[in-house]
Amino acid sequence: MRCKEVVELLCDYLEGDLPDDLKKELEEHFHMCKPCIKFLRTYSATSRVCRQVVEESLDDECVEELKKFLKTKLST
Amino acid sequence: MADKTLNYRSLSDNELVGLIREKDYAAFEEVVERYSPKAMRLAMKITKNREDAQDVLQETFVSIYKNIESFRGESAFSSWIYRICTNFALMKLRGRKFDNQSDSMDENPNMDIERLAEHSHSDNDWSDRAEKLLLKKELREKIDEAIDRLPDEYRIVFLMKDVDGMSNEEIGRELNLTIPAVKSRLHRARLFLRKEISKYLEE
Repeated sequence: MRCKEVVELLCDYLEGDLPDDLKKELEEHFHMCKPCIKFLRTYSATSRVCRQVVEESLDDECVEELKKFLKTKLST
Repeated sequence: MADKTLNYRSLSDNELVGLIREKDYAAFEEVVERYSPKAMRLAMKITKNREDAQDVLQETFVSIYKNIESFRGESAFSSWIYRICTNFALMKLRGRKFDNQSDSMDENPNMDIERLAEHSHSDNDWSDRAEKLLLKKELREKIDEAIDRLPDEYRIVFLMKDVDGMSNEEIGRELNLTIPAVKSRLHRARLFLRKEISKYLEE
């Protein structure tokens, strides 16, 4: 298996969607290829890191404005 | 009516849902405090427009209050909220003629799959120090900008999957895409973001 094919399979691999034979072949490649292991690790960390960035907090002022709007809207 | 003896912050989501069903407005406000920050960020990331995101947020929480009976507890309360938020944000985008079926990444040489998949022995493995690196404001801003640079159809799939936690099937249903199309967009978006983060860390 070539490195390019490994990258193509990463999404399915992480979701557990690969057939057993392909999964085995991929894992054998990982044992021999350090760059692909690094790629796998950074690919998988990307989702985690981006999620954290998106989850950063809003400022309090925004939450207060929203609460004020909702109170007016929902009490009518 | 609010129960003044209650510490709403200490209540679980399910307890808050029960109280909102009994028209306890303070319980609803606790839900707003708890989930509006992430909902706002999500709406901002999908619409890329602060005013639209604020509208989305208002619509989301009005809908939550009015439709609390339809929350059946089959998924986490937070996922239900983010799903409603995503739907309102998508409606905004569609109003701006968002082209869900286009494949603009294919036409952009910088987004070429071959280039996104390139790697070598000299590549840096930053995965173990990712959390620590995020303390740097500059990196967070770079990631934020990179997510915004993703074409709509890729950014939305990425946000629905990796931020909302929706399944591929749910995303496919929502966006009218096949599962392979969902996975392909998700994969490209992750590859693009991975490359951007790596590029920044290797500078």
